[in-house]
Amino acid sequence: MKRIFIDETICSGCRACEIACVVQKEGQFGTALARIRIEKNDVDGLDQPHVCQTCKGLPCVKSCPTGALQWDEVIGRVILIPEECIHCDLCVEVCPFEAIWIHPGNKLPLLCDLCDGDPACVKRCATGAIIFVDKSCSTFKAR
Amino acid sequence: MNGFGGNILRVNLTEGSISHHPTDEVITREYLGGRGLNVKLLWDELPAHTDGLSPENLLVFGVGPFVGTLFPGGARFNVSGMSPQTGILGDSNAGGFFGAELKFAGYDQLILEGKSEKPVYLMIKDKTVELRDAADLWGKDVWETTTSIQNSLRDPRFQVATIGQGAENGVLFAGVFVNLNRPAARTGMGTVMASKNLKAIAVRGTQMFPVADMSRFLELVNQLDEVIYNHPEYELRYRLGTTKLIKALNAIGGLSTRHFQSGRFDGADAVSGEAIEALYKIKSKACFSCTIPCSRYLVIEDPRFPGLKLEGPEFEPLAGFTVRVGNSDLALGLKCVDLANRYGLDAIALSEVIAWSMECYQRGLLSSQEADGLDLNWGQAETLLTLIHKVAHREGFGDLLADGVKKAAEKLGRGTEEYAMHGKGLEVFQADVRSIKAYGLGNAVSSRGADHLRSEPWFEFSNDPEEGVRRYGIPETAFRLKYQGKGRVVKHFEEMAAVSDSLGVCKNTYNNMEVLDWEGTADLLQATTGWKLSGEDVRIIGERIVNLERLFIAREGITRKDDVLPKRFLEEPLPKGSGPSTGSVLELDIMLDEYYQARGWDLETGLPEEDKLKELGLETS
Repeated sequence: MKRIFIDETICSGCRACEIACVVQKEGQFGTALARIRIEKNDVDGLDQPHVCQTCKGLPCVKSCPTGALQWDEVIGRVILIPEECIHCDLCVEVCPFEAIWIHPGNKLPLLCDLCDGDPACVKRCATGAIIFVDKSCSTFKAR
Repeated sequence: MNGFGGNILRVNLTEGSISHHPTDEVITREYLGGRGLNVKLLWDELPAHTDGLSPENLLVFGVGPFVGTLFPGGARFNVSGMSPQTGILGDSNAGGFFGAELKFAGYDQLILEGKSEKPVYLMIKDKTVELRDAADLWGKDVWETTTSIQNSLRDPRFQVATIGQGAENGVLFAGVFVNLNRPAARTGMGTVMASKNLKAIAVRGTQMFPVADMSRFLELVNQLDEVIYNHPEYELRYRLGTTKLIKALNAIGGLSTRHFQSGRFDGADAVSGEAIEALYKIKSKACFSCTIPCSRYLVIEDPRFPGLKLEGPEFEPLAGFTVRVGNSDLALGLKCVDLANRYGLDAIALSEVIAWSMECYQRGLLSSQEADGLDLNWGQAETLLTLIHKVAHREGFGDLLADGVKKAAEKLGRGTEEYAMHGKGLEVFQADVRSIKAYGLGNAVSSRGADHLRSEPWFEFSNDPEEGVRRYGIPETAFRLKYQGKGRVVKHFEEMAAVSDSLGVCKNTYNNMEVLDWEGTADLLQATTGWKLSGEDVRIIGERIVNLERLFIAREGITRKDDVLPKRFLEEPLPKGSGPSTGSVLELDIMLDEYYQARGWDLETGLPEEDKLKELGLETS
């Protein structure tokens, strides 16, 4: 199954992925509702992409007290059932990749849905710092 | 309003009042945004002969319709006002992440007027705008101020535009810095900010803005990507950015060696972009939303400069603190760039005043004693580092240099004026215009004083006479040492530069790589704003901006007599050892005639004719 992999050592920190994500999800230009974010440290030149890695441990799903977050085996990603969410934000706290944020409007978790298998952020990345590959893929190993 | 933040923010620092106004679509259609929108405001609101350091001066930040979009490098903001350094148009531009954040906060323009009683900084979070005490920040450098504000606001996503100690101390060529290392450095806009007791602007934007036709926009950006990724310059720009120019200009004999005393520099390889890449580069870095990461993060392991790390530099500061001052010690040059950034100074002006001092010393016009006992021989490490500190703090000899080279030379006198390398009071860049004629003309007529970024007429490097005929009707335009047609070339690139600065995009992509022509720009603008424009309409916007800037500086007394460059370029042939440029001078007058003619400006005064103004909707009466 394909997953997003990140390589911060070649991320230029341009944040085009954030814009591409917001365009895909909201149809406008902005960054605040992005499901991927680059944490930047200008002093040390660090650019750390944060995005759902669809990790097998599923801490977000396990932490969810109401079952609002669930793992969908068929599509290979976490899904949200909005009406079950009680806005406890536990998923934000437990995500080891710091890749869940809260929508400032509806207060629901902003969750990456991998753009139904063709992530807009990956397509926009100029450096190859974000890739969408199968874990066993040879391209990934080559990197 | 499609493609715009939709608001203009006005802050009166004297009264502490803040007001929001809607962006005027009639004006943005004529001036786009950024530089164009800013000069329109200055022309309408700033009285002639306003003192650059008085509370009456305005400091205006502007972004354009492509800022904050997926346009590669749609990141740039323009800051404008009356320049305290030159007494004419003050105008500077920078990338990084500040411009996009300002737009996401909902603003196309930020107008600062008056003067605060005490040091303050401006905090903008969307519609929430506050002036906050900056007593603790005053005296801090660019790096300290930026991190201190981000820490106190507990959000590293705040983008900070700040000044350093240089501006506070009244150095006339201090800039406004974003992302620690990215300055809008030219013409003293940081000095204006300091004169208003405004230490910094911190902005955080969580809004979105729509465009007229998103699917068309994405389609056009995809086409643009193809052009960029397949561009012959892509790989080199990705690796080296503009530092590629050290070797390129050395090859043609066009560097600013030891203050323009030779076009070639024997230490060029040692201080080249390639050397930086091999020795210090950690990774490529980019401005907001840019697919050409031409900047570089560097860590310099050198026991003399512990902890030295920085992003960049561009060619200009790099060549300034190496080639221009006769220094072939790369780590030392990078240390100088770092100091200039932290103090918040314009590296072009700063390297010029130091190089000018060294040449005056070489010629016996200045003694070491007068320069606080410093060894003014070329490339002296201790002298370079000490002089930067002295200028930033206006200490001793640094006080003289802090006014910029024109005023320093006027004050010192005794013939040193001849060696002051400036146009209209602004220091010239790091290439020798005797070797690149269109650049010479571009520097001479530039509306903000001698500067290459007002035109960037790269076409004269193309060596493609057929393309020269196609574009300008003249094959010679394709050759850097020829004169014919350069007036038309500069006119064309000035209009491109004006549009680029007003859209908020990068000249590396828009002008130098020419990734979009006028028609392509019009198409993308239509997808962004919904405006139905032709390519010619877009070009006319550029022409309108150039003409309005000319009116603005004419009001301050500028005429043809001021469209001139230092005597050295015009009369002294480039010395032997300058490679294929050896023996060249710059014959400005023939190019000027052609330029004014192409512009529809009076040949004698160099001022726009009434017909031209009427054509552009700029009638003065």
